[in-house]
Amino acid sequence: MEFGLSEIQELLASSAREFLADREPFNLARRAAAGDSGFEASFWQEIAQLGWTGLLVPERYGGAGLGLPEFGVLLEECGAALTSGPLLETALLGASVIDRYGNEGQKAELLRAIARGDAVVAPAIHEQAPAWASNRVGTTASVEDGQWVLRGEKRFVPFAQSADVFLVSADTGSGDDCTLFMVRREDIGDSDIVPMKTATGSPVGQLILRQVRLPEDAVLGGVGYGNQTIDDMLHLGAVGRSLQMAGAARRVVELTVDYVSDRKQFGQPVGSFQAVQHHCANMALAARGILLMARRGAWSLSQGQSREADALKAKLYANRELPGICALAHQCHGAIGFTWEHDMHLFTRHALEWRSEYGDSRLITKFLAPSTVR
Amino acid sequence: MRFEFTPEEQAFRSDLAALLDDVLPAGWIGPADESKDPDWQIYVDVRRALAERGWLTTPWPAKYGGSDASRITSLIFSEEIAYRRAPGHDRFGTRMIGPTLIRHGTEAQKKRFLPPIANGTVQWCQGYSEPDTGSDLASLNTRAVEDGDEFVITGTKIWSTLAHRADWMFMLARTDPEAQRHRGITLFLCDLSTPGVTVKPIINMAGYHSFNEVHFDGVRVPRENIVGGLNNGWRTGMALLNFERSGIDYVAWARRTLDDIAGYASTVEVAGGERLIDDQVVSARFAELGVEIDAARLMTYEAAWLQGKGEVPSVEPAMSKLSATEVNQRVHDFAVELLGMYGPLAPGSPLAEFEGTLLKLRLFYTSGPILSGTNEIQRNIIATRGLGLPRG
Repeated sequence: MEFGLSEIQELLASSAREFLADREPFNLARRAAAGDSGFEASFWQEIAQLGWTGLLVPERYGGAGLGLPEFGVLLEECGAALTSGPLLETALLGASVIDRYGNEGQKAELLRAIARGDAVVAPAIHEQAPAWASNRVGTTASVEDGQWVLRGEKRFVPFAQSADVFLVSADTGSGDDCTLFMVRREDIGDSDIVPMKTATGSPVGQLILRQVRLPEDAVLGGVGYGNQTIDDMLHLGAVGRSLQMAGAARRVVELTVDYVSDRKQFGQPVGSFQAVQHHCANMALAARGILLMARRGAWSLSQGQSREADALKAKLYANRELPGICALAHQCHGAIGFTWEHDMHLFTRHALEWRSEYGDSRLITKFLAPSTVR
Repeated sequence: MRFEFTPEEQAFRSDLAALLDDVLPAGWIGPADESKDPDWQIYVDVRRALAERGWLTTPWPAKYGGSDASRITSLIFSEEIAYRRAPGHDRFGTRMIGPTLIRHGTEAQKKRFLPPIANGTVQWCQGYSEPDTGSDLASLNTRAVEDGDEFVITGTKIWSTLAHRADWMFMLARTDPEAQRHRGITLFLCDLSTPGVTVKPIINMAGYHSFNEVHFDGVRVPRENIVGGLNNGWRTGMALLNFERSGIDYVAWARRTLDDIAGYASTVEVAGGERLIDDQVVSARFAELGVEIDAARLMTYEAAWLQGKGEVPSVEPAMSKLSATEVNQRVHDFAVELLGMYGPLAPGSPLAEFEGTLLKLRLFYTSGPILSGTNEIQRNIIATRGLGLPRG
């Protein structure tokens, strides 16, 4: 057991913290909550320059070739700062599954583009239900005149308006397992990307696929590899979100401790009252739990053995604890935290949205039921 | 970042497990009621078997009968014993007064008191709380009056677990009534066979004799049995509590009961032929409690990891104790509830599942959040020392 961060992990964490503090944390989240786009190309370019988008990309494709525990500390900091942008979707999910399942040509093109910050990759795998909740994929892929033709509708596509490549799941009719296709932005008509408004304003959208024609080599990893790839995305996404939730939890505790230390009533800081102190202690305890579970999840996935359950456990724990941490934080902030102007609601909004993604609690408890019996 | 045990640690765990399974009676469900002679005999047998392998005191330095083992190893030790609900782990000797003597004791004290602990031939108990002194430990009233080379102790200690089986007690007594309350306290080692000591049983709410009230009526203790210096007992005695504070036993007890109850739920059918464990409400609770146990376990190992680096953390052990005792309560509450109308069947009832043990534990673990620093005190520690909030 080794709970400390390595030298490189420490370095990544502190430089990320400094960089994000400089970029006025919360501002992007606040603008997004107010309705502006949650994607800023210039910010994405900046973090690509810092090497964040290529952190997981192998060196031969222009990345840093580091592992999930290293990438994880970045996600913690992004969570703490409520940084918007498709870091999880593109640099973690996209880069990982393309590296794992892509052919040489796909890797050479897309991994390089991800590392350079030139490609936003977005999974388009959910329909009426989340991809991992149902084996049935309504979107179809058929071969017509030597081309794949996709028909269907995808929902909850992250960064739909900004993505350059969508990873679209479809049923080829050749078996139980679906297939993942790489669909380029230019293959989709402008009116076929329909924005969906979310609690945080993150740019999620619907993707309408009307006879989208794709070349034969648009398949990622081969026909019938889709379910496996989607499972990988679930585990990576669960850990990634848990790490962001861990960072956000830490920040919410900090904001609250700062506030109750300053705010005076009855002639003393409200943070000197035991009722308030115990709220804060409970928040700190849960925040620590989220962090330890999330880091263990990241480490377990990086070991490449079958420890996916740790990823789901991290997400279940974070799902259950982060909204409660935010609720206590609101309570400790009193009326000021109830205002639009204050940042606390941004955290609550993210907690609700993150909780629903990459495994909601009901789904995870279904997946975990046999494995928790140790 | 490495969330796995070393091969050596894993080997130790399985060697220990094999020994325990060998020494414990077949079908042992636990917990032991040490006031009953057969259970006390098991306690003594397990303690001796562990001592023979040198495992009672692995974290101690080699020259005092230990093997300089890591903190993590020490947690593995506690974990395997607690998971089996096995008796024989003399925490008071091996984890509290032993390490305190190694750090603060005189050479003569180390020579005299450490070997019997390492050999598993002595039983210690604790004398901190008093009838009017709980969380506010510095308010204690037991007096120790200097008389030549001896101190004469008068007063009452309470909640002393295993005092009815103990040979020795480490205890706090007031040696300077004029000094500020933290300053006039001394840590003594008291032979419980000394004239004037009376041990009276207290029956706990689970219905058995686990702790005691211990009266001291002019009990004479030699000066050489002071640990850490006269009137320095507050510092030494508090440091001792830091050795104690870990949630590991509670984590393991919770895991064991969750496993037990999962086994039960896998065999029992409910209406419609479905197994109880496949009921969605039930399986969700298993998953939730499972991750809560994992989080408490990670906090516990993190605290040990910090201690292993030579740090003296206060916040992490508080988090460990807090999370572990509370999830342990939730697990035992769930277990008894899941048993339905069989849950409240008393030990000894012919139809009781697990011999009624889970009910007994459900009642007994009411004590977890209260003992060795109430969870309110732990929250105070996290808020003031961890988060830097001002003391009220």
